[in-house]
Amino acid sequence: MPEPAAAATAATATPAPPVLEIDRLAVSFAGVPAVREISFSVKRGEMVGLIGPNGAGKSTTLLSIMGAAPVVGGEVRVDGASLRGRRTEDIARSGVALVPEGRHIFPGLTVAENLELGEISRRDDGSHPDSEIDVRELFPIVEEFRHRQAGALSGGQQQQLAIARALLSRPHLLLLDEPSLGLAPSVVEVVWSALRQIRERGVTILLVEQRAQITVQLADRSYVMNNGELRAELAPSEAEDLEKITTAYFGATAEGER
Amino acid sequence: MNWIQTLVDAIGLGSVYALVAIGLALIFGVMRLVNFAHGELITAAGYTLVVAHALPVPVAIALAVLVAVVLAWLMERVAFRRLRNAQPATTLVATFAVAFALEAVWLIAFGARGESADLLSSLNEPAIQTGGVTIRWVTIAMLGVGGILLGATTLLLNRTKIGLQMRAAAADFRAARLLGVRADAVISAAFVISGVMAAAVAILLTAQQPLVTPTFGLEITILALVGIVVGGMDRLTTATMGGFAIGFLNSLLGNLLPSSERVYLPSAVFLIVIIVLLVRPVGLFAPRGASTAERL
Repeated sequence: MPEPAAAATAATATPAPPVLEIDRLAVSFAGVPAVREISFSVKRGEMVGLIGPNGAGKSTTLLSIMGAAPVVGGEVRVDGASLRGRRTEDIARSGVALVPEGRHIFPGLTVAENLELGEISRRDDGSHPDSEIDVRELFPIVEEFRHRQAGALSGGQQQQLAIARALLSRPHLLLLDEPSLGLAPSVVEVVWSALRQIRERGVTILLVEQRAQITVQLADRSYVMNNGELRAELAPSEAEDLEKITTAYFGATAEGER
Repeated sequence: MNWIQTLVDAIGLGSVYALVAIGLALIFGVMRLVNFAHGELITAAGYTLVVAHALPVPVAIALAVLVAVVLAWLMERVAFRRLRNAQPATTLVATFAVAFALEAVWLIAFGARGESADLLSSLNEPAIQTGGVTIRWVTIAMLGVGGILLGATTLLLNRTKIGLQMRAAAADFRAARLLGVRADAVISAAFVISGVMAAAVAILLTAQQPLVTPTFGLEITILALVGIVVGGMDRLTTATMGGFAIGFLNSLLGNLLPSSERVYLPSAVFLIVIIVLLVRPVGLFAPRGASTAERL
């Protein structure tokens, strides 16, 4: 955890390090590589998209940032500090929040209890006032259904709860894993609009998604991941260029992979 | 000995088994670990009462609780923590290893014959005597302590921060850690509570019958484990009810069988267990359509 004083000096003297730096990160599950030496970074206030087909290694990349995947090479740095060997709970407590794939809310607990768990990692040291967000305003349903069992909520409501819960830790880096997965189109719109607002408040976001076009449109830049590698970088202006996105997605096959 | 007397005694012993069940179910809920060595915590507390029998009763009780809690914490710290990501079979074998190692320690230190922890035997005096039914103080103590500790555990789980974190960890350990729940703290808390339960069991059992042998805690733990499985081991309430039920049944059958047939007591208990598991494999007290989502 960087000292606030040291961080301030770094900001004035040299350019501040990116909030997130992935440096030749490699992850293997029992010898089978899932992420192959990828490198990219996310600057303060940026929203970066990570798109690609199933099994590309996107979720694994997010989990390895949280110290929850078997990293075999390279490293992850947050605010310039290496996360190597740090425990998941300590990374969470240092201001990185993941909204995991499949939401992973606690269905047997109430909505209020789920939110209370989100506050465990909150640091009231004022070091990140930029991420002060009124989640109850952003997601009114979490207030409305406070005393309900979280498992009784609809899928879309559970997703909103999962994002609200992550925001309550006041993260300065928010990782989202397929927040639109399995949701009805109207609910997807609610989630996207919330993401826009969260970004406007200055939270740095890394978004993993299957919905390629809207992600490319929304993010400052997007990387296409396939077979554990980054295959292309796309700017928002390229969101309409479906051919380019498709090639980036499936181009690997043409190069004789598999 | 009449029916009401038999029932009263069975309820008392059922409460003690319920305390064993709470200790086991808490660890299983948080860690998915069947702690076979839980019985050694009971034995350790029992031998503490043996050693401390000359001290004032409150001091001896406090020492027994302290020893069981420290041993529970150490067990996790030394043996189970490194195996947290191991296969369930590996950790189960590790709990056997810890249990047998400690049993050898008891054998060497205190011998096989057993020692007397004659500290609270005055509790065997009758408290209430009406119409041929005798309620002894020890039965009241079993019910009272059982009720208080069950209530306290419920309050701790439902009303405190660490309790909420334990429930979250029991439901989805990885998701809890992603939110910043400290795995070590939650697991240590579960072991400390299980140590308190074990000490209470030892105190109540020695009050009824002061002989402490190296397998003092083992027998009740095995039977309570069976009760937990029968009741439904993935929920604290059903596990506790299962523990109570097996203690109740054991005491009831023990009183009903004539002394010459008492050797068949375990067979009778396990026959009933097998029938229950055949009819309701998810657990006797598990709600209809039970899933494994909620564990504490």
